[in-house]
Formats: sequence, structure tokens, C-alpha cells
Amino acid sequence: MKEIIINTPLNPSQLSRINIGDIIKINGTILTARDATLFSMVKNDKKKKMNDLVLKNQIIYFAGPAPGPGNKMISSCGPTTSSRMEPYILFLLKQGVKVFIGKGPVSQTFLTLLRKNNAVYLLATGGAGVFLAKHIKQAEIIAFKELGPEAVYQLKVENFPTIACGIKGKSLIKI
Amino acid sequence: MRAVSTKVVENAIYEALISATYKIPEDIKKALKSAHDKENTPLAKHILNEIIKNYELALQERAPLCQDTGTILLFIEMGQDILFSDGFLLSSLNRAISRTTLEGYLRASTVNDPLRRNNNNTNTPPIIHLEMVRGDRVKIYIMLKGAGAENVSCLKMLSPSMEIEFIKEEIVQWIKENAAKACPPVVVGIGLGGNYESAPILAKKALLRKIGSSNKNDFYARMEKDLLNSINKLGIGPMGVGGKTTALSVQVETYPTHIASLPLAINLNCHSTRISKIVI
Repeated sequence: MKEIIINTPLNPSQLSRINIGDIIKINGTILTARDATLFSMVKNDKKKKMNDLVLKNQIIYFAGPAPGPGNKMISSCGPTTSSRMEPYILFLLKQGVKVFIGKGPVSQTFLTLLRKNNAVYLLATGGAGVFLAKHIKQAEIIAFKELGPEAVYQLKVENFPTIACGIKGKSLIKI
Repeated sequence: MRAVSTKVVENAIYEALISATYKIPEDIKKALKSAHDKENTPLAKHILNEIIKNYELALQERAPLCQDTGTILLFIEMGQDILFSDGFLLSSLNRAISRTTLEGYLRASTVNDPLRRNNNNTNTPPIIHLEMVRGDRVKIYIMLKGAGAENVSCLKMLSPSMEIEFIKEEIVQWIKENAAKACPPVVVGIGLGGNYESAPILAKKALLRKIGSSNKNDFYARMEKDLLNSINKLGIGPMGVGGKTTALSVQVETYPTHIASLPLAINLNCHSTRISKIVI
């Protein structure tokens, strides 16, 4: 298993070295978003209401964390099912998102869109919430606070472990 | 009659819920370890290794095994000789869940309306299945059920003349198309018989059984074994990356049905199975 480290701010050229099945470890900043978050982002966009978020060259993690004790914001934070986010992928790619992290298979349309935009889909281990949260060093809610667990959390991560799952039009998960 | 205070039930549910969030049941733990030892593809082993590390860390830190602390389900087997005192039972169950959500760091995963979707931050109300039994005890199974696996569950009203081989194919095909979304290795609950609303409850009840236990009837125990073999031959593997372990167990429960009916319900559970039981 080849291991590749990705650092943010993301230089998209880092992604061209990635092949299906590579272990990808992320250092830097990633943003969470999921069902209600993406729905709200698209709704704001349609109303020409500016989203404060800058998504260019960002990494989006499909996740909604569980809180922790005291000032620990997150105790557990694994991925959610990526296929539910498909209606929002084109929007996110147009905003400049280059990396998606989630779990489960995605459609051929999703894979084609990723390829056309030189973007990648990474798999994090679903249900390994505490293990993954160990790689989150800092968390801050930066948008849609009213959505609770579906707010946008900006996460500072260290060696956040994922596997290259959708890239160059191909998928690691065969259906 | 035996008098039971609803406050006793509330506290017992609270304790059991909190520990269920971070403590993986022994049977699942054993099944995951043995799956890890059997896998020989590096990615499958890598993922199972992360899953094993996760349940160790969750126990150490008393942190939720999975951030999706789920919908809370209560299967209540109520002895008919019990008389509850100190208030309405349902209110005490709701209170136990709200307290656990706050003090056990559960994620607020329940919205109070399916379309307007406001989160009340309490994870209430639970989903309750109530059964009357003999005696003066109350047994409550508690399940924290993640939505990833729940979303790929189904009900099929099959033809009563359908033969078992085709029924098995139907189940395996469903798993083939859907299991990768449900955080495999999964536990497969099958409900056969009953009617439109009871078959899914049977499938869910099947998930309460211990991993490795068999249906009491040999015919269905064999069906469970055959299904597990066929499912694990699909090669979906942990998280869908390929491998020998797609399901840890297949558990079938049945009920008498109408001459014109053959309901089949499939309810999946993720590897992060969170089940606990109290008896009062």
C-alpha cells in the first residue's frame, strides 16, 4: 500500500500522484458538510445570498461530529454516506472543491465529474469515529451554526487517514 | 402485582444507554477480531485494524464509538403483573434519553419533523416496540441504530409460492447492491412472515440476537448459514474495499403469515452495533 501525504493549502497538482487504493494522509484544514449543510449552501446560492465560505481548493469531509466533554468540541467524527451528497457535487466542484471524504460507493456520474474537475474522492473508515477524531487537533464552527451537528466545522487535522477511492474515473468500491 | 418506580426505569435506561455508546458488545468484538485474522488483502485488514483500534479507544475515553449515535430504539417486554408508580413511563424514558444526550455526549441526531427538520437536541422520542409477557419483570433491549445501515433496509411483499432458493437470491442481491453503504462488515437481520408492518420489526428483532447464535429451528438455522456464505462470497469486504468479510452474521426471525402473503424484510446493522439490555 503506497502512502501519500497531502498538505493544505491544497496545491491541486499534489492530487495527480494519487492512484486507487493508496493510503492518503491529510495534514492541515478540512471542512465538514453534509445533508442539511449542502442543502442550505445551494439554497443561499440560488438566492444570490453570499456564502461566507471560500471553497476553492478545499477538502470537504461529509461528516457531522458528536460533541465531547468540557472544551473538547468533538469526541467522535467518522464519515457519512457519500451517495446522499450527489445532488450537490456539481455545485461544490464549481465552487472549487478538489477533495471529498466520505464513505460508501458513488455513481459513475459522480466519478466522471471528479475526473473532469481533477478532483478525488477519499474513503474514511465509517464507524471509526473516535479513531478518526484522534487525528483532529482543533475544531471550530465557521458557518451554519444553527444546523447543530450539520454546521460547517473547520477541522485542523494531522495525518488524517483515508484511502483513495474515486479517481481518474475509477472506483475502489465495485458494485 | 409488583410495583416498579418509573424513576428506577429511568436511571437504568440512562446507565445502559451511556455505556452502550462507547462499549462494543463482546460478541461483535470477537467477530471483528476473527474477521481481521481471516482477511488477507492489505486494505481489508487495514480497515478492520482501524475498526478494532476504534473500539479500544472508545472504551478508554468513554467516547461514542460512532458519531452517529443513532435513533434510539427500545424493545420492551413487559410482564403483565407490573404496576408502574411515580409518573408516566414514557415521560421517564424520554427524560433518560435527553439526559444521556447531554451527559453522554451523544450527537443530536433526531429532527422533530420529517420535512421541516428542526433538531430538538434531545434525541427524543425513541422508537418503542412493546410486547406483553408473563411475570412481574420488565426487560428492555436498547439499540442505538445508525442511519447509514437503516437507509439501505427494505420490505418486499413476495409471492407465497416463491421457493427458498429464490428468496435467498433476493436477499443476496439486495446485499450486493446496498451493503457497501451500510459500513460493512454488517449484521443482516431478516424478517420473514407476519404482515406489512410486522416483518420489519421481526428483522430488527433478529439484530438483537448474539452474533453466531442460530435460529432455534434447524431449517432457518441452515438458511442463515447458507446466506452468510453467499454474502461473504460477494467480496464486498470491509467498507466495500473488497475482502472476505461483508457480513458478520445473518439472523432470521419468522412469524405465521396469511395464505396469500410472504413478507420479507431486510434490516442491516453496521459493524458499530450498539445494543444493551436491562431487566428490572
